[in-house]
Amino acid sequence: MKFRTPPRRQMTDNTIPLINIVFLMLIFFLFAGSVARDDARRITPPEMIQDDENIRSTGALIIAGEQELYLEDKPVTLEAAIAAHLAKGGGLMRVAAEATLPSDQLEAVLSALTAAGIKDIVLITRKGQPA
Amino acid sequence: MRFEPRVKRRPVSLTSLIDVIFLLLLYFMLASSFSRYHQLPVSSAAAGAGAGARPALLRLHGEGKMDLNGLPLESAALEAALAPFANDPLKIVAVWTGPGAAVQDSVAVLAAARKAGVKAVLVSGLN
Repeated sequence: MKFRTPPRRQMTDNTIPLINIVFLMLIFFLFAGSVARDDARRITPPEMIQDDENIRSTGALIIAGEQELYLEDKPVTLEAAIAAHLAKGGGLMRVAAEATLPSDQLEAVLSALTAAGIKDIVLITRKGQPA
Repeated sequence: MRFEPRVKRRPVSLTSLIDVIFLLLLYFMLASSFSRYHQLPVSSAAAGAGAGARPALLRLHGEGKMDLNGLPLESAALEAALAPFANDPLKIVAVWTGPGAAVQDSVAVLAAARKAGVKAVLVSGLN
């Protein structure tokens, strides 16, 4: 009795275009996206038409509402955020505030930061035309 | 001289390659974020305006209403109104925000002042 040898499995032709597309998508996501954690995703920062340096929101102080501050995705008090910033050696402090929040609340936080001796503060904004 | 007989190699299976690429693609699709942020400096460092210059007071009342030194101002005319203060470190515009003004309003004004080369400071606690 003679068994037929199993035919060599052959890659069907339409797998190659699939790999091509998947490869292209991989390269697109590699270059266009950034893997750094986006701490400001829970809020919508104000829009600003002016072009300035890009900045990451990782580790920024997030002002989501009155008495509602987040640092590294965890709710904090203002005092704790200031202490954490000073413990890291000071330097540039990044603050992101919800666009629809009353400006007084932002100013209260900013003046507390300034009073604590933090001088370099930048606001995080989105690129866009303010309505 | 003896040549070794050619070893016939089986072609490498592409399936594992596709598996790995798929996994990488999934990872980058789910982990990457596309939001781009810009920065607006609000630091009040080097406040050396001790020369007795009185800052102009720009008050924001929200919903696009503002006044400069008491004179009502349209937000479209803001740039022209800020022009006399440009590039003069002694001329400061103090931005005061009323209860109706949102963060977006003050950011818009600060960005416009920065674009015009005007030194603008946010003032707080004067309500």
